[in-house]
Order: sequence, then C-alpha cells, then structure tokens
Amino acid sequence: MTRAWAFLLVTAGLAAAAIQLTTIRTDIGDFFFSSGSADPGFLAGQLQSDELARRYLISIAHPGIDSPTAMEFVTALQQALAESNQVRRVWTEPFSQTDILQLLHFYAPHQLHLLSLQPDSEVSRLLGPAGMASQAETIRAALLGPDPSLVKSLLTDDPMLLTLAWFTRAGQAYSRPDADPAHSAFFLETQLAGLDIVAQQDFQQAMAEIFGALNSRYDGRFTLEYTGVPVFAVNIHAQVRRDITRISTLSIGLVILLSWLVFRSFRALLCISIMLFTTACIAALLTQWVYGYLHGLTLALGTTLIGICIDYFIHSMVHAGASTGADRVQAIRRIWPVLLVGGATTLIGYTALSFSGFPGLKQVALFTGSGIVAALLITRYILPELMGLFRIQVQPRINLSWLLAAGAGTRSRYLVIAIITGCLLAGGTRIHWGDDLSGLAPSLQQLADTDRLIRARLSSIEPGRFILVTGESMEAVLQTAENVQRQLSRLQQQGKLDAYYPLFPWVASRQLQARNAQAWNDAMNPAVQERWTKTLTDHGLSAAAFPALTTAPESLLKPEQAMATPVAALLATQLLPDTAGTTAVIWLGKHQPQALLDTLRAIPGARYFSQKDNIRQLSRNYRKKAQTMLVWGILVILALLSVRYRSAVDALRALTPAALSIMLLLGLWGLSGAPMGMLHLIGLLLTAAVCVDYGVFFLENRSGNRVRTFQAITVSAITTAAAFASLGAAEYPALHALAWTVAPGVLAGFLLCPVMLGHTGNGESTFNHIK
Amino acid sequence: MLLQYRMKLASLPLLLAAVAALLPLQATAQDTLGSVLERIRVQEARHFSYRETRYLQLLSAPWQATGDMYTSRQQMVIAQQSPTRVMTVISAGRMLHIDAAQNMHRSLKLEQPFAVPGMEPFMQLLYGTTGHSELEQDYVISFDTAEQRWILQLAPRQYTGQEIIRMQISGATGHGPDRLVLETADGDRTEWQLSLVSQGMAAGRELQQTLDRLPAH
Repeated sequence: MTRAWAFLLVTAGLAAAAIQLTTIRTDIGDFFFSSGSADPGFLAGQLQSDELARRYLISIAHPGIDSPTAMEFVTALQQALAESNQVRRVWTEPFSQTDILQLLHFYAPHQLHLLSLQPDSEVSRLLGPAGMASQAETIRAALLGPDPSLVKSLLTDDPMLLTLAWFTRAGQAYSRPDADPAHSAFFLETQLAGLDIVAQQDFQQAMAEIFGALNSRYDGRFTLEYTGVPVFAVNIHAQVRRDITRISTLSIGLVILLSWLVFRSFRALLCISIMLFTTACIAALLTQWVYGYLHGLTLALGTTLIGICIDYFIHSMVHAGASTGADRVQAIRRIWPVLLVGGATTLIGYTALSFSGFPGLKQVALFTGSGIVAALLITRYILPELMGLFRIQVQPRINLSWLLAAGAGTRSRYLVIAIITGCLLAGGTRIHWGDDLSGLAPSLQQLADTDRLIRARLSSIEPGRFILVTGESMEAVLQTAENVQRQLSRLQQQGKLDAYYPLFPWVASRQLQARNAQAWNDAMNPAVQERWTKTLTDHGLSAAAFPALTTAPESLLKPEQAMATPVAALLATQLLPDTAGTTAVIWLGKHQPQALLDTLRAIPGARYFSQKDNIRQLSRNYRKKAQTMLVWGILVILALLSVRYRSAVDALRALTPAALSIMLLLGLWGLSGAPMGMLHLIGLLLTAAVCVDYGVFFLENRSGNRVRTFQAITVSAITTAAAFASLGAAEYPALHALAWTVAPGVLAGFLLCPVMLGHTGNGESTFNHIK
Repeated sequence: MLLQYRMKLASLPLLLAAVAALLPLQATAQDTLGSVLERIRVQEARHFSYRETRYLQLLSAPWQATGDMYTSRQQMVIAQQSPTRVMTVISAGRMLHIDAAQNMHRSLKLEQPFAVPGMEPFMQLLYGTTGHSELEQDYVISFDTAEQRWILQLAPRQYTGQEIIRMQISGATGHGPDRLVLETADGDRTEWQLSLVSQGMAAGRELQQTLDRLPAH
C-alpha cells in the first residue's frame, strides 16, 4: 500500500509540474517543417519571418460612402491605431511623402553608380544625342511641373536629373491593383511577435474596439476585415485548443463509458484514470524537457496514447480479475512478458514514425513512446497495489467468447483470406496517393478567402512563389540577384512575367556600381559637357545656371546605408538572414512558372521557389519515407517476434491479424477513391503495432485462460478504437486520417484474432515453450 | 500607382486652384481677413480660366501656360491647355499629374484628406472645417486694401531652403482674387492671372466633361 500512496503523491507532483512547466505551441510550421534541410528550413524561417509575421493587412469596406468621408474615416483609424504603443507603423503604400523626399535626396548622389544593370549600353544611350535631348526635356518638364523647387534641389547632386526617372522606374514594381472605390486597405505592423498568440489576441481585440468606437461616430457604416500571419496564428491556436478539448473530452468520456459498461465499477474507473493521467503527465514533461515545448498537435495526437496505454491497464486488470494480494501480483507477473512484447512492438511502430522525417511526428513518437514505457512500468509495479488500495475486484461484463467458436475453422480462415485478398486486389490498384499537405492544414476556409480578397486589394504580388538567391556573402547574393533581374526584365518584355519586387536599384553589388561608374567616367570628356550645354540651350534651358557634369564619386553605396533609409521596410522582406549567410527573395507577380524555371537553371545560386510545390514535394518525401518505415517497422516487429518465438512461422502467425487488417484497409481506401497520404500510412503503422499486441496476447495466452484473454483483448480493442475514432471529431483534417485508419484497423485486427489464430482449448498457450 | 515625388509649397497649379477658389468672393472695404477667409471654403463647383507665367533662372526665357481649372467639394482639377495638355486632379486621398506628351503619369497618395504637401494651409481653407488661426502659426499674414484693390500676403515664419518666401494674392475691390505671385529664396517667381468662367451646375457639368476626357488610370 505504501507504494500506491507514494504513487498518488508523485502523480499530484507530476500534475503540478506539467501544468507549470509545459509550454504549448501551435505554430503549424513547427509541426510540418524542420530546419535541417535548405528549403524546408527556409520555409520554416519564412513562415516565422519576424517582419512578415508581425504584419496585418487591413481592409475597410465602405460601399456607398463618398470618397472624402471614407478617407476621413480611414485616416482617423490609421492615426488611432498608430498611436497604440503596440503598433510599429501603419502604411498604405511603400513610402510616405516624407519617405519619398528623403529617398530622392539620398539616392541622388549615387545615381551614377546605380545607373543600370547594363552600364555600357545605358551610358551610350544617355550621353548620345537622343538620350541627352530626352533628359533635357525631362528637366524642363519637371521644372514646369508641380514641384520645381524639388527639381532645383536635386540638380545639385544630379545635374542630369537622373533620379526622378530612376525613382519612377523603381517604384513601378510596387504598383497596386486598380483601386476599389468601395474598399480602403492598408498595412499595419505590430511591435508584438507575430506568434505571441496571447498578445496578438489582445491586440486584435483592441483593434476591434478602436474601430468600433470610431465606427459608432459614423453610424456603423464601415466594416473591418483583416488578415495576416497573426490572424491565422490566433485562429489556428483557437482551433487546436478546441480540438484538444473536444478530443480529450470525447475520448476520455468514451473510455470511461466503455470502462463502466465493462466493469461497472467506479473505483476501477478512478484507478484507470489516475494511471492514464500519470502516464500523460510523464509523457508531457519528458517531451517538454527534450524539445522545450509541446506542440498542440502532439497533444491532440497524443490523446491516442490513452487508447494504447489503457490496453495494458485493462488487460492486466482483467487478468488480475478477482484475485487479491499476492495472487494479483502473480497474475500480472505472469502476463508481464507478453505486455513487454506488446509494448516493444508498439514502440517499434512509433520509433519508425520518428524516422519518417516529419518533424512533428518525432515529437509525437517521443510523447507516445515515453507514455508507453511509463504505462508498462506502472502496470508492472504500481497496478497491483493500486487495485488493493481501491479494493478493486473486476469481472468484465462483456463477453464475446462466442466469437472464438464462431470464427474458428480452416474454411472460415481461407474464406476471410480470400475476401481480404480480393478486396486488396480490387482496391489496391486504385489507391490514390495525395501529397497535398494543405489538405492536412487547419481548415480555415473563411479566413483563407478573406486573406485572398484583402491581398488582391493591396498587392499584385503572388504570395508563396518567389525566387530565392543564396550566396556566401552579401556581395555574391547581390551579383546573382542582378543576373536574375536582367533575365526577369527580359521575361517581362516577353509577357511571361507581370511584376516582381527587385533588389536593384535599392541596393547594388560593388561590382555593378564600379562598372556603372567606370562606364560613365570613361565616356566623360569636354566634348560631352559641350554637347550637354548645347542640348540644354536647345531646349530653352539656361545652361549657365546648371551645375557641370562630373565623374562618378569614388564612394559606393553600401547595403547597410540603404537599410538606414525608408527602403529598409521593403528590403526587410527581401534580404533575410540565414544560417548560411544571406538569402535574398525576389517576390513575383503573375508569371509562367516553366519560363522562370528554364531561365533560372542557368544562374547558379538562384532558384525558383513555389511554396505549394515545395510543400507537396516535402509531403511526397515524407510519404515515401513513411511507406519505407511501414515496411521496416513490420519487418523489425517480425524479427522481434521471431527471436521471442524462435520461429519465423509462429512470428508470422502472430502478425497475421495485423497484416490482414492493413490489407483490408488498403483495399477499402482504394475502393473508396479517397486519397491516401502520409498520415494514413502512419495510421496503418499504428494499426500494425496495436494489432500485433492482440495477436501476441491471443497466441501466448499467458493466463492459461483463453476466454479471459479474449475478454481482455476485447475490452482493449473497443477502448482503443473508441479513443482513435474520437479523433474524427476534430476540426483539424489531419486527425481524420488517423481516426478512419486506426479505429477500423484495430477493430478488424481484433476480430481477425479468433478467426486467423484459431482456438487451441481454453487453458492452452500456443507457445508453451515460451516462459 | 506609387507616388513619384512630393509637391511643396511651390505646387503652382494647386496654388492657382486655391486662389481661384477665392475668386467669387465679393470683397468689400468692410471685409476683414477673418470674414473673407470664412467664405473661402468650396461650397459649389466653379470653373476658371488662367494664365501662368514662370520666371526661373534655369529657363532661358519666361514660360507661359494657359488652361482651365475646376473646384468642387469632391475634387480640384487643373487642365493646362497650352503649350501642352497636362492634367492635375486632386481628390481627398490622391493627387494625379498626367502629362501625356511626356508619357508622365504621377500619383501621390495624400496622408490627410486634400493635404497636398506644401499646400496644406490653403487646402485646409478650401476643404477643411477650421478657420485660418492654424495658418498664423506658420505664416506671417498681412491683409490690406489700396487703390481699389485688396492684397493678401503670406510669408513663412521659417525657411529651410528652396521653398516659397512670399505669396501675394490680390484682386479688385468688390471682386475675388485675379492675381497671384509666388517668390522663392533664389529669386525665381511665378505669376497667375485668373478669371471666373462659370459656377454652380454649369461648372459641375464642365468639370465632369473634363474628367471624362481624362486618360484611364
């Protein structure tokens, strides 16, 4: 009894520690992508990019409201939001009026270094008669335009006024879609980390209150919509929380109900619940210790741990049955070897999961694996005394032993094999492997629709498809990016690319700047100055009042100088720090992917990146690994059983229910036409691991009482199937794959035991040679 | 479209528009600055013709332009007719400057309703809801009448470089302004002559016809 009381005390301590120490994270990137390989690593970083993750895209709907009123409202809202100390900045277009003035004056002295990606041809064009005439006409038009004062101030550093046209060209990349008179949209960047769920939730609430207060002054005629990484993060968090609550409640409720139906004993229920709770606490704490956090999906998937671990508790309680004291300990000792084998086969299944490459499943494997070890140890060393403490003497009310007789017989065995093989043959060829991970992502269709609509109002750039440029240094990255841009300009002229966000001319490699300066300086001579003077005069300009043309200054523009200007806001989403150095991103508008792929193939260091294609490829890789792991998992389980039974044939017999169950599932999935993905394979692996337990329990029959053993398996199978089936109630589609694979698979495996493993008499073990 | 460059106080066509909005005012000897400015705010559509002359050191000779200008509660349009056709359209949230001959299409997102940079005080008088007291914080304002004319002069209290150092608006007694002179620190100068063509519904129709001819943007 002392051990039982100590266990209860430890359970209380573990519960307190788990509540205090466990950090739940719900970021989907953590679960799907690891930082091990380049693309997924970048993708994970991209999804969590500090700048992008902090950003909201806000849309105000104002149909039927006149333009000045709408403008007044939106301006007031922007001001009110900008005043919040949680807001870093609010903006509509990349640069404010003040920013533009600052940038014009910043870039004017660097114009000669940033002339063009094709320095020689640009200098020839510019200093030729037509180029000079065009430039003189530009100066005249600007002087006679709305802001001659600005023109005069720029001419000091930029005598040919190259900056204006240069800025116009650079700015064209950021053109917005045609304005929608019924909507106004703008960006907002918070001081808060994008994935700080609680803070972002509070901020969204505060934003809604600010909007509501302002809107009430306008009779509620405006409507607020917003999107962005924090919106998805908060909603996913809420969805995962709902799933955890729903699945936990449902699975625990089902298991309790079933346990009550089977045992009709509240004390047995309490005992099982305590052991399950302790198991879950140990698993959570160990996972927290190893990873530093526990993912919400691990917790959701981990609730299936209940369905697996309860097998050991129930199986042991049924075998301990009405025994007392030392007899109870003896009964559990007797079945301990078979529990160990069962636990080992399940552990092999979960270990195989961790080799699938799917980062989230490594955590699930650790969580569930540690839970299984804890559950086995509790069963062996605590359960007998707990049963004594709670004075539990159970006798299962459910008895399906008639199945033992009904299913036995060689004929029925062959019939079942024939049916299942037929089913596999019919459906196996129709299995459709789906590798679209987006189907597994949280189903937030409404949010996704809103996101698409708001983004369409704010940008012509397509999210999720871009060009990645990598290099050993910033200089190398910029040089490669400039090569890419030369090709993108060509594709644009060919109509194969609508738009892109460039790095040049905001920043340029030293090499390109030097080439521009060299080309300009080589061309500069008194004759050029004379020609320019004449051109100015010919265009009605007073040449004497203009500064003389000079050679390019020696100092080059450094990227860090540009990053100290308002351009930093743009470049922050394009120059991303990377573990290997710097990664540049060139965002793309509508384009022909194949044309880009063909073009970029010839540029080392540049890659076309499609987030969706990449995720699909990633999913395909995970799925192929999962297929391999399924085979390896079963082979290792077979090897383990062969060693234990000292016979491969006996080991195969123990595996038969599991193997037939998997064949049946594969056949039925194929016939259904529904796509199978990586998580279905994982479900099959879990099915195999659990069903092998039943085969082992059934064949070894350590209690020497076949009916009791089958009773124990019956109760275990029903509770396990119920726990997994409860995953089907989740909003998260990924969990459905497991629910509708494992639950029917486990039931099929259980029902196949008496059919395939036969009946050798009530008191016999198939393996009397095993001790 | 991304805006291309900022306009400052020397946004001449806009100043022209602002001044033209004063035209219909019937100033009298009894008018004070406050009462005149109180009636400046745009209440109905108006159509003006104008002549602009720029005296810039960078130009070898003074430059002249003529055209039409429209003001309404929703927008201000300046349609330069000669020497080339250039359109400037200012709405609450945006300013467009279109020079078809130069293939120039510039767009400026305004940070406040009608707040054209450098023009804020004037646009505030035309389109805002407050009086002129804010103007006096940044400008020395003088208002005088002499020889059958009234003269309003604004000079910024602080100079930072190229901006206007003096703006003078004047008109015949009993009439709105018909002349505007702008001077910058380097000695450059621009003059405007204005005359009212129509107002009310007629001006509104003419404004709409002008907007209809605007290139798609």
